[in-house]
Amino acid sequence: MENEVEFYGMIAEKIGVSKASILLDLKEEEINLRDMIMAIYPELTAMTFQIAVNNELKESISKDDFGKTIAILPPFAGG
Amino acid sequence: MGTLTKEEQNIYNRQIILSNIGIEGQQKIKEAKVLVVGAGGLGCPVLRYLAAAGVGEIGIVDFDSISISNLQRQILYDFSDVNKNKALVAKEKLSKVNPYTKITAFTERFTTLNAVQLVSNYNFIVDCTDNYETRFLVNDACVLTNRPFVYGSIYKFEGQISVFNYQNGPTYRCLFKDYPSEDSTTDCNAAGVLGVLPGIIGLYQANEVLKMILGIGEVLSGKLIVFNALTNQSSRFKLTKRTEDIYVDLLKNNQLHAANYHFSCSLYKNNEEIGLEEFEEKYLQNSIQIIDVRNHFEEPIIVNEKIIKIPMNEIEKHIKEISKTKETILFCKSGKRSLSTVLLLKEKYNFQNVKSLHGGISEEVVDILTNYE
Repeated sequence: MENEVEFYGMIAEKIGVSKASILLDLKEEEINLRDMIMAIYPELTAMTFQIAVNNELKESISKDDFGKTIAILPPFAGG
Repeated sequence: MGTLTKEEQNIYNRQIILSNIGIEGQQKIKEAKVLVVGAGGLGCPVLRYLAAAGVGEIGIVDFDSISISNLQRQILYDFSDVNKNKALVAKEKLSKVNPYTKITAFTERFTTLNAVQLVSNYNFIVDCTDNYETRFLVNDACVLTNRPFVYGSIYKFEGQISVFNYQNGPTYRCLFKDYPSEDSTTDCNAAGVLGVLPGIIGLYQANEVLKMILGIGEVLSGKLIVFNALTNQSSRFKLTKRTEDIYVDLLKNNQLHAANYHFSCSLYKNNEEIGLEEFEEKYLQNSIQIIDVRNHFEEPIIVNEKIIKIPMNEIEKHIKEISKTKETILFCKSGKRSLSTVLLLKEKYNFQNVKSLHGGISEEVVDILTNYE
């Protein structure tokens, strides 16, 4: 099952796109979403971000989340 | 705060005739006290609209002066204001927008030493700052004083808005618990920004302030809006309060602690830090007083009689041991604690000639301090 991922701010620049699709292959009941994102996008390893699944902040993902939109949100400093 | 005069009722007529505002709502706006921290891209539209709406008291905190590159987005200022202090100019301009608003300009930095006092005198706080250090400080000061604050921040074409610490709702640290990693921070002025963006985000912020004052609508607490000016996409995320008490250590003894704020932004660097080359030169000339603010057990331990060893948390106890007349350089492991201590010495004890060694105690620094004793 594919999940759409949206990248915001500096994260989108780092990845080079603002949207992508990832294929979730869950062998366990629930996996750490942050680890999974960093395994797919190692360039994010040293970056600070929050993860949302269908607009709700989350740190883990299960089979129930198949097909939902994942958002990667960095902090913004400017004012 | 008196009742609305006839003239005031005329000024605000278009919002008084709104059924869920009326004279009663306008009176609430007149009685409100709002502190705006930062009078830059976000602060200018926030201030302009809150003053025009009839907010009774507005405080403006900004130590910075207006530069020509600010004019593209900081809409309260014009060419004749360049090099003047932002808070003072904003006050002058807003006094003309609404002479009924009492405006106070605070031209000092927002620091651990004045944050609680400044915030305490107002009911609603608006975070219009441009760096993480001050954002965390605004958050923590609001948590300590139980004030809600409207958060706005921008990055190039995108902006974030939320209301934090509102009626026991989530705080900024529930979204981002700690200071971001270095890879996630850009220099304060390096990223660039589309001029209209802070206008859009600032008006979202002003709108949230007015809704809180009036008690109408749905306050953006527990939610984060991320707006993209290029796509017009506005995404809304649900935030929840962290279950662990993240403030136990941060706000020990109900106080703000300078060490919790990484005062490393370029804002401070020019004035408060010294680089390695300059440090070496001054050290070799034997013209400086050097203070190691690390804890006594921290390695590498340097044996050098020229270095005064006072851990950061004991500095106030030993303040008389530090010469105010001699040029003084502080160092620690990374340069963060020493920078916080420099700010403390300058702001609380009126030290003039004190700087922090940028980057802390590197191998090169150890070489200098041990080989040329």
